[in-house]
Amino acid sequence: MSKVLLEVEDLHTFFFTRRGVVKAVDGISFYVREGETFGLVGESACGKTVTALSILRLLPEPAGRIVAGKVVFDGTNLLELDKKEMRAYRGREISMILQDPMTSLNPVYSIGDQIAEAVRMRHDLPDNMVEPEVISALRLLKIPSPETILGEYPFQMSGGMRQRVVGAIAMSCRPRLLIADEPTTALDATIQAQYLALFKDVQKKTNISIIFITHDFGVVANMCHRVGVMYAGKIVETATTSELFKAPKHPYTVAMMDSVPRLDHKDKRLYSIKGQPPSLMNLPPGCRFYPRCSVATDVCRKREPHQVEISDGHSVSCWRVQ
Amino acid sequence: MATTKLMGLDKVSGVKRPKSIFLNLTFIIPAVVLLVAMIMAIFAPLLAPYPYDQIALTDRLMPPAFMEGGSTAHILGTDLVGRDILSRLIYGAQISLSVALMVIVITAGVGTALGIVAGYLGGRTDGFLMRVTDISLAFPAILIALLFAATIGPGYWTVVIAISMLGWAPYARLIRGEALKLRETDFVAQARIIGTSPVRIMVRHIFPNIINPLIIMSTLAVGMVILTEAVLSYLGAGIPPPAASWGNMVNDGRSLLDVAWWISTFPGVAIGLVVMAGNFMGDWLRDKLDPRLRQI
Amino acid sequence: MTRFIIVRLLQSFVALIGISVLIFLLVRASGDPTMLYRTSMSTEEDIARIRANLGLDKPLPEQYWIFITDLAQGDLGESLLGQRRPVTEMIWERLDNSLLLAVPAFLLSMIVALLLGVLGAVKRDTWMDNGVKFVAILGQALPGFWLAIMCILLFSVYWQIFPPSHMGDFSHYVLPVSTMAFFLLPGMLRLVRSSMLDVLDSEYIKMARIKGLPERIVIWKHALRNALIAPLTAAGMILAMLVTGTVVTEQVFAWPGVGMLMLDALFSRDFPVVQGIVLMVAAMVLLVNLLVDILYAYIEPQIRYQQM
Ligand SMILES: Nc1ncnc2c1ncn2[C@@H]1O[C@H](COP(=O)(O)OP(=O)(O)O)[C@@H](O)[C@H]1O
Ligand code: SF4
Ligand SMILES: [Mg+2]
Repeated sequence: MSKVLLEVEDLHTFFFTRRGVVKAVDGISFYVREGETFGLVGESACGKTVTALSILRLLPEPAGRIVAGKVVFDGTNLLELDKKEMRAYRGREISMILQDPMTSLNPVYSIGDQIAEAVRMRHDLPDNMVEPEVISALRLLKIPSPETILGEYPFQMSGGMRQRVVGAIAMSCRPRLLIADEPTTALDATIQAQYLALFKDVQKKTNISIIFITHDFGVVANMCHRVGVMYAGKIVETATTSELFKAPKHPYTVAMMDSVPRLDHKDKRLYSIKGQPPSLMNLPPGCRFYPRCSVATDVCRKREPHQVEISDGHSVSCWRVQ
Repeated sequence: MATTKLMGLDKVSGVKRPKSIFLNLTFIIPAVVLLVAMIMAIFAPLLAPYPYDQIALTDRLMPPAFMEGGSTAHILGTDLVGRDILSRLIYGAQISLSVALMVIVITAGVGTALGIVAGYLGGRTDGFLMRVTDISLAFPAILIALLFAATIGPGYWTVVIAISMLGWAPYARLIRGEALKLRETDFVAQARIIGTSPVRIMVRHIFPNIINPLIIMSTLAVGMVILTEAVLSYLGAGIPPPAASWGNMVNDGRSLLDVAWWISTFPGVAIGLVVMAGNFMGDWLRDKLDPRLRQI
Repeated sequence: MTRFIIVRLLQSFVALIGISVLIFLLVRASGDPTMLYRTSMSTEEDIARIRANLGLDKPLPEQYWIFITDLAQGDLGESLLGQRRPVTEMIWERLDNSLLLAVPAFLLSMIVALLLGVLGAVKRDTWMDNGVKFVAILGQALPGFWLAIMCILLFSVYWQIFPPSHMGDFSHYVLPVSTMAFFLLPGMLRLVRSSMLDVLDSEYIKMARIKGLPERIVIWKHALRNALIAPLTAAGMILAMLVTGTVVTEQVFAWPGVGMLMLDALFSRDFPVVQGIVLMVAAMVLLVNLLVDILYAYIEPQIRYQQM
């Protein structure tokens, strides 16, 4: 098996706001191997984006702070680096595709400029090498006629095209780890499928590691080797994708699986979980899923379940699966 | 599990920022300053030790009481013709605040009416009114004011009208934006469906919902108007002497700086205090009523 | 783009017409319009001639026509006093003095506003940011003319470092330029700081940081150019403040510029000069606004493309 590239250990990221402390990420651990796609899946506002930004140390300051934990990339704890050392990891080692393609391009610079900047950061390329690199980055993302697009501005492009350009920027730094934050939410179904295929293609060509963030279990099944299921700031279940779909254990995972529309079970009704996730400012004392859980027991309300490894590489945090 | 503690995790859970005293002071101090100014304005004849225009040539250029040669009879000293600075300051509050009140009533009225009409009707009316607003916003009020002073002569009403000539524009722009948003709401749609007339919709449905921005804007306008009046009076295009305006008082002392610094200094401090209080009050109200309006 | 410029030009022209109507009406609202165009030396004959020139016996629209055609010929009239010189000539003669004051003050305040505004936004909520906010609050509340006088009191009367008035060598510029710059500062400072804060929170700034760009490029290249768009849309207001600042500063420091010329004319009841300056400055303000609109279109590519 290939070696572990990134290991996140017991990460806590809180937001200190006027109204109180938001525990957006409350002790999560996972790892990603080289050439592997790790899925981070969960409902919106469960802390996926905050996890990703914590890895890159790009939280909105001064409210957002990493309170405890480790982010070990290729043997180095990123949280112990100073600002300058950290910057060397961004782009060249770890890159990210932000969630919203409409706003992640700078409106006043052309596409070519914005990619060239990333290319130049990689290593000191001679000037005449920059443009071919930019074009090959656009080609990698299957952007049609890349030469003509260089002088265009973001507002001149469709959402799908911007999404690809953002992808091209992230890839053009040739990172070893790419974090893709819900990269397909803004796209319609057919383009979505193409775009996902692109990721696989790129991974085959470059052996890059990917953290794939999504709220869609269908996409997870398609894309990821292993998955972490997040709920209210914690990872409640981790497993390989095949194991997770064959034998989901956590009641939240099970419920989420049921809510995936399956093409093969046409009659199956679309079922989503009743109720709202808890406020991250005011977490209940026991299991975070307790208020919505259909199989909860008394102990669930009082004490938080801890994580148990039930088989090789499959861990669950639930009193029912101890 | 080995955990790098970057911060005491245990200490974090209960943390709530203490309500800072500073936040409250930003309300109390401005409120007190404004209240004092208002009391001075309303009860000027009762509070002022002397009439604002009482000349006493024997007491000319007396320094404030705390200086050598000063007297408690004139706590803040006297000017070139022996008028009491403190008394004139008190009467000056009357002018500053009443000009502010007049201008704000006029500009808020006009600006709100135009803003609602532009925002609610949209289309060409909106386009035209907003272009006029833009130009008014970019036009130096001082030119209009000097023009008024040159034609119909300086005076209280000249100042009020001259400042109002352009002062409606910021209201129109703000209120138009609000009206534009309200136009899309369900209750306005509802009113339209049942056939309510546009005028009635504007008065009964839109207006009550823009009162908050209106209050905030008006409070923030106090400082602006007082400053403009002071500038005009300082330049001699505003309130003419012998009436006591803080602006023309500063001018009285301009040529006497080497012998009587107090003549120019105190009225400027008064302007600064009241304007700052008005601005703080406006900011405070905005944070309380409508934090969204951070821009204005 | 040409269409855009033509439309804006027309609008500026209409605005100028608006000012002329205002002047026209004010003159007639003042009671006896001839009072504004005569001096204490004028004879009955002079007054009759003024009356005829203004067309006072004709209906109002015709009077306005007479007024506007005179102006359209570029004739701002002549001074009532002294050698009865043409107003345009008098303005031109003083204009460079005003610019010698206004331009350095504007540049100074712009540079300081950019530096402090960016500093405040980048170091948000620290003591440095609070310092920046304090400067803005103070500058917004203290009257500019008073501050200038206080500077004279300190630097000219007590310490006698700088001269208190009139033009001259470099030392004469220090107080007027810096007090005027301070008068202009708070507005620009607030604009730069708040738009910089918005921009720094944006996703494309995050994206720039993800690329691993050094902080100085993130801020001075990616953030600043976007942050400048907001102050630019407020350039009209800043220009209006510049005009006010010039008039006031010239008065305080007895600076022989256009502002001083206008105030002198106001007090010596030389109305044609006041009228001429108002029209001329109005035209300049409108012109600069037009240029700023074009510059804005250049900085913001979206507008540049739409309008072409
Ligand atoms: N700047 C912020 N200030 C306060 N709370 C925040 C901030 N950003 C995110 N949060 C909170 O953190 C939690 C997780 O957000 P996020 O990671 O964006 O969720 P998602 O899983 O949809 O990506 C949310 O509850 C959100 O309210
Ligand atoms: S611990 Fe209890 S409440 Fe939580 S998921 Fe398991 S069964 Fe449900
Ligand atoms: Mg997210």
